[in-house]
Amino acid sequence: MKTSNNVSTTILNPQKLAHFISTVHENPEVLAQVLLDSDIPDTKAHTIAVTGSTAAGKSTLIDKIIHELRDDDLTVIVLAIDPTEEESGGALLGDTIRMRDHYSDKGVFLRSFGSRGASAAVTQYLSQVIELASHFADVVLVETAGAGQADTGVKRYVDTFVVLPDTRSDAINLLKAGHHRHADILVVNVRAGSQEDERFFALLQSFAQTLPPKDGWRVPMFRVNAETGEGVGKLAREGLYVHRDFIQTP
Amino acid sequence: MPKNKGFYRQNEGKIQYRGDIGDPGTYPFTRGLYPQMYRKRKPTIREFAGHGLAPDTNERFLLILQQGGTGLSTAFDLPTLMGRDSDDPLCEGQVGWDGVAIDTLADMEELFANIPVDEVTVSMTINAPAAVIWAMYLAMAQKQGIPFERLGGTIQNDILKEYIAQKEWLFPEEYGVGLVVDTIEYAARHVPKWHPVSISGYHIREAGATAIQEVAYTLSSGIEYVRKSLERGLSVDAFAPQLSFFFDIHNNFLEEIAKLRAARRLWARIMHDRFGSTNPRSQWCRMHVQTAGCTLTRHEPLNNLIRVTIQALAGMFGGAQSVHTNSYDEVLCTPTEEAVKLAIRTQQIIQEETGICEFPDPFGGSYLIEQTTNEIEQEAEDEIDRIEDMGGMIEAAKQGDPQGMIRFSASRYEQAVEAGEVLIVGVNMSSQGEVEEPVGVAEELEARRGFEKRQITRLKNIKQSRDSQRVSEVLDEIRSAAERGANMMPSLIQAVSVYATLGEICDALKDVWGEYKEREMFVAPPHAAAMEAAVRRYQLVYPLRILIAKGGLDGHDRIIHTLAEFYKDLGAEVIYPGLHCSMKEIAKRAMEEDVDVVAISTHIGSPVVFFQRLHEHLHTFGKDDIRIIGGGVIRSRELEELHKFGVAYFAPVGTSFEAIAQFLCKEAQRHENEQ
Repeated sequence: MKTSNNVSTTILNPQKLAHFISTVHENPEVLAQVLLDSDIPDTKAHTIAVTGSTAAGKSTLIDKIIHELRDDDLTVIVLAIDPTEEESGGALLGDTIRMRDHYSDKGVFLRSFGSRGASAAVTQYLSQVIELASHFADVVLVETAGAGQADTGVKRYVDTFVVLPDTRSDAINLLKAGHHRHADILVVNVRAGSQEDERFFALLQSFAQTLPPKDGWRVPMFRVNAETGEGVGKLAREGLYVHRDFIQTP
Repeated sequence: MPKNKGFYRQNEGKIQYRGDIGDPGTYPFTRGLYPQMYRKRKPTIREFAGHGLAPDTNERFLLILQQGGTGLSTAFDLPTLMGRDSDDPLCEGQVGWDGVAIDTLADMEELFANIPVDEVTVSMTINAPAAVIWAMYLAMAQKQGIPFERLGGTIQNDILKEYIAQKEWLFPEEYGVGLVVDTIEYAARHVPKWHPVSISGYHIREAGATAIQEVAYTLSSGIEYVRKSLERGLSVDAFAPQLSFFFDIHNNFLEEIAKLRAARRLWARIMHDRFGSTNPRSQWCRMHVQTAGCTLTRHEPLNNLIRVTIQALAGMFGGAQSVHTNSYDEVLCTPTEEAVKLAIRTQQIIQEETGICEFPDPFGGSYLIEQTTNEIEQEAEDEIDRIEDMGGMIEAAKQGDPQGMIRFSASRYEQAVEAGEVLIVGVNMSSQGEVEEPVGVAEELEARRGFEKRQITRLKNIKQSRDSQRVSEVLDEIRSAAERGANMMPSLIQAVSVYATLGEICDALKDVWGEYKEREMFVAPPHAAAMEAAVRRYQLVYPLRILIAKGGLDGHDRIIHTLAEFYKDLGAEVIYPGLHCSMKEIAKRAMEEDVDVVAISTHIGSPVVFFQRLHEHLHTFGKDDIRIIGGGVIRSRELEELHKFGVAYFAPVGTSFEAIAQFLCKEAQRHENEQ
């Protein structure tokens, strides 16, 4: 079993990051001022959003992606969003429990958000929070609250938009749900022994072929088992890294 | 409940005396396993004991035998139950706390010093690492020259109920169950008088299940163990006679009698019909019962003596093979000698003075008992079929299904207590106020704090005196056996014999099998009325960010789910990092999440140690400004110490939702004012 025991790369100044995120999340106008802080490096992370409906396995997949990124000595910030309840204004932020292998890893920083009145899948001032975080690590992973079409909003704020469709949806839902069309990378979580998931994988494969290339990028599709981590290494190295290099090519 | 329950009903399905009830000792064993029952053999008086270090518990064992106990039962501390050594950072404040600390074979040898283990049967309440602890027991006997065939006893070793109820797990489901099956196979081949598993409804019931769920999930687990053992190529009658069961005896006297009868009949039918066993011993649901710890009250603790007596009677009318009567003071402290003696006396009086042992199944044939037995059997069987349709208990547990069903029942019960539909004397009826702390608790706390240091010194000495080269070889052998998928028992016995520690062995197994990962997320329980009322009256003016966690290795997480829901409804953002996090991990998570409040719930172990560590780690992360609050079991003396570690508020068991809401509202207001 893999554990993140890599200490050669750590996130510098996590206390400051934690505090700044709160500040910017309350008041985005201070972002410019915050970024003037001389301790904040000028580097920019590869920013990735993972979206998909509630039980699709997003948190579990992100946990496995973190393992892969850490194996390659990359530092990681996760920004995980859960819906805020309209009535009470409160929220249960439960995504990071799946990422507990990384709790004591100094190269990983986990932060949860309630959507706080923004469209249900993202949180207020998310773009500013992502911008801030991108100065503190090699990779920023954003997990949306998974509310379907609204998720596409997050696409504008990140480099790579990963979509994990619900394997229980049928072809019609798939075509209706616009956000799959916006994906840079499609991932199917095929649980061991699930015929349903296999069928869905085949269906999506044919669907993916109908998507036209966007600016020279043909959307790849990856088959993973989020629970066991099978296929996630390939997703990272042949999907995430390749897309990063693709968008960086002038 | 139908009005005519307990009376003759014209349209009653026909009950055949032979076939459905039968004489005691005949299939399907409704009326008992043996023809003469207690006339020939009284139930074993098996009292649970364990605290501190091995010599402390050994002393208590000798006392129990001297006072009339006829078997022994071992309570291990939480670190041992979780397969960790006493010097593991996650065990701080819990060593020897609510059971005996066992790290190596040396501890096991001292635990049973001067006890004839070939004569006394020994039960051990140990689950996830049961195979390792059993290996220690076997190695101890081996060193004394006692052949395995002469050893009698039980290891609880029911890992499925850990996933669904008690939450003291180590490995993923397949490997956890695989290890149980290793012990079943090894016992069948080498230790014929041993019960390698005690399939337990006790913890399921204590977690809040109904009597029907208790029977259903216990027997569903039994079916899973049988199925997995058959896959090893054992014939059913080669191992099934060694399976045993463990049930709770709750307050509803007549229902509990019927429950034990129903469980016996249903298991016999399952083994006969589904698994084709021909040996009656394979069809026996031989059962240990314990009076229900969850029914004991901190208020007026002497009332517990009466509860225990009535529950013990139900256990015996229900035909149990051995009985554990709880000590009346165990909800307040480690049972005192006086309380242990009274628990034993309770059973002796029932056995010797009342005459009930003369008549097997005296309630048999009563309309009510037979009807209730039928109902429990039928409804439990339906639930078993539902679990089987999901693919069996492993699959159902993975999906969190029985967990959810139990939680739902638990909430319903709590609501009934709250509404006064279920009465608890001295608590929600005839209550006379506060719980009084027993005298001597302060001294006991001091003694408990000493355990950890003494045990760590012992462990260090053993590690220094053993052959470390040999230890690393046997640990490699364990990894290799685990990879080959071999039966683990021979390599475990070999490893403990050269004083490899429990923690080292479990870590070697984790290297190969991985660790169990908590799948459950927040599950909203049905809301208590008092909680709803507090939410209607209070709302936070600012969305406080609160991280809520348990202290140490404790798995009582129902309160976490309830409070998380409550905080959220008040308007807070709530983060739960999962069970078994170290205080350092909790502090790092609190820093990253930039929370306003860290809330720690403690039920087992020393709250003082937990909060001291949390305070230190938060300081290291530069987060002295985070408010620390707590809740759970605490003694007045500990409460006084907590403010030293920055604990702003502590809600002892029984604190109202309203009081908690008031505190949080003040906190939110303070934040709002500061901004």
